[in-house]
Amino acid sequence: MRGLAGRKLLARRELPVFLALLLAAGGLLLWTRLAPSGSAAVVEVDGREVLRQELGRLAGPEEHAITGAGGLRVTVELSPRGARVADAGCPDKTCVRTGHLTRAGQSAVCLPGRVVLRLEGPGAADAETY
Amino acid sequence: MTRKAKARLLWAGLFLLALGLCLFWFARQNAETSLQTFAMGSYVRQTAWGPGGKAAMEAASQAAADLENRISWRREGDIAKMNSQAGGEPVTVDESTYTGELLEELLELCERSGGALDITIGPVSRLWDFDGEPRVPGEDELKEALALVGHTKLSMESEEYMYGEDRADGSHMDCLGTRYRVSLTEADMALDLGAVGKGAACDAALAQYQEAGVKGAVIAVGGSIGLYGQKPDGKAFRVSVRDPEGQGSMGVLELPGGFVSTSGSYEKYFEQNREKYHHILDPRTGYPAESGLVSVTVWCPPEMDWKWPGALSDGLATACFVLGLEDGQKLLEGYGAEGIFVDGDGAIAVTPGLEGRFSLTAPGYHREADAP
Repeated sequence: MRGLAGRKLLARRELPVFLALLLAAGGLLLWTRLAPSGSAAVVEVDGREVLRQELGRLAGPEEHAITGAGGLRVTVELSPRGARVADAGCPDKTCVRTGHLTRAGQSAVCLPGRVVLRLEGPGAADAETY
Repeated sequence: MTRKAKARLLWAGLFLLALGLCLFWFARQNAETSLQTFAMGSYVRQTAWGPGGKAAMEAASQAAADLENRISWRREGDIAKMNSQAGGEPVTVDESTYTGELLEELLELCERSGGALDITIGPVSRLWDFDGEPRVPGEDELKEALALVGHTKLSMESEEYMYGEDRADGSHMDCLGTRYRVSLTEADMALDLGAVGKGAACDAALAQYQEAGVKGAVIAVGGSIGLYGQKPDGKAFRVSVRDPEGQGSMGVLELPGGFVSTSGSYEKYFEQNREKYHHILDPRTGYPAESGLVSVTVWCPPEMDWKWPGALSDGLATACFVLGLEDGQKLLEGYGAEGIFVDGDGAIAVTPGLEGRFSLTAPGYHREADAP
């Protein structure tokens, strides 16, 4: 490899070091983009994230009480298998009826309380139609 | 350190800096951002890729909120005004609010569907009150309300007119616009665009993505989806279709873009006297539709030549649910749209344009002889 003035930029013995650096940078990029990560449950109130839990780190089911818009109480249950809205103080209970979320991309929405429980993780679809 | 070694070190440093900048640029070009809001009585989730994504999503969010103000009968916009003047003076709207052109396309859908979708269903949907305190209306009040339903009783005239526009560079431009005069011809008639509002919000959002020049974006307004541009990996957009009978997903659609909406009897319902009543009303009977279907998903491809393809996907899903499999398929064919029909026995019919794009993943369903 020669520079503008015809001088050697890298000595032959230095070349492997730079190749290794280049490979490491490429590898790092690939790793950050492709490395699988576990599913996480995310709870939002009025569009703001209030809880995030990696499901694989849970030893067993645990419940979290969430206060939604207008003071509406919503109980979410998270477990290594998934997440669900266990109870909600609204009359329609649509979010409770949505049932157990087990795949990334799924969500349960409590509209009156503006509370959203959703699963994030690898393999999630870009959107869900219903 | 010799001079030669210093030079080498400098060049190596420059090389690594250039490499770092390249990586930064690459990451920025493909950066994913998301935004969560509420509009049209639904949870709205947006994801965008590339520079300008966040600003485009915020603009889309505002556009959806503005649209809601104009077309929701609960607000104080064009539609609310038309309802309040039912049986009286027409309401004039120009192209600046887009309400006229949206109504024009929806009226055509009402016509083509034989009234299976009717945007004048307001008096009946208010009686059922699915978004408030739902109940089964009495026969007499339902009959009275049903007499007020009929898209042919919506009068709509349009005329073209010239108007001037001052541009940012100080120049003046003469433009051709369309003005609509809309009236509900009988007192107490009421428009209700609830069947198309979420899809229309997707239209409004995609217009913002295009204006902002984002690389790719997805918006989900409730269960209505708008898919714009391209994902960084160049792969198709993946849209999960919710399982109408169980929990989770029934299957996955892989699409190049366009709009997707679903109408299902499972999403919103109530029980009274041990009977289940879902929210998709048949405008011809005033009762929840009974076509044997439990879910219809409609895809309007990006090449469809309509101004409001998102609203159409939403309206078509409702109309197809009311019409049933056979007539629903014909309606979709006329529009160049595609669909997935699921009946109460778990039989799934897929129109030809979705062949190879839909993968069934849930147990308990079987593919029918595919749609002709």
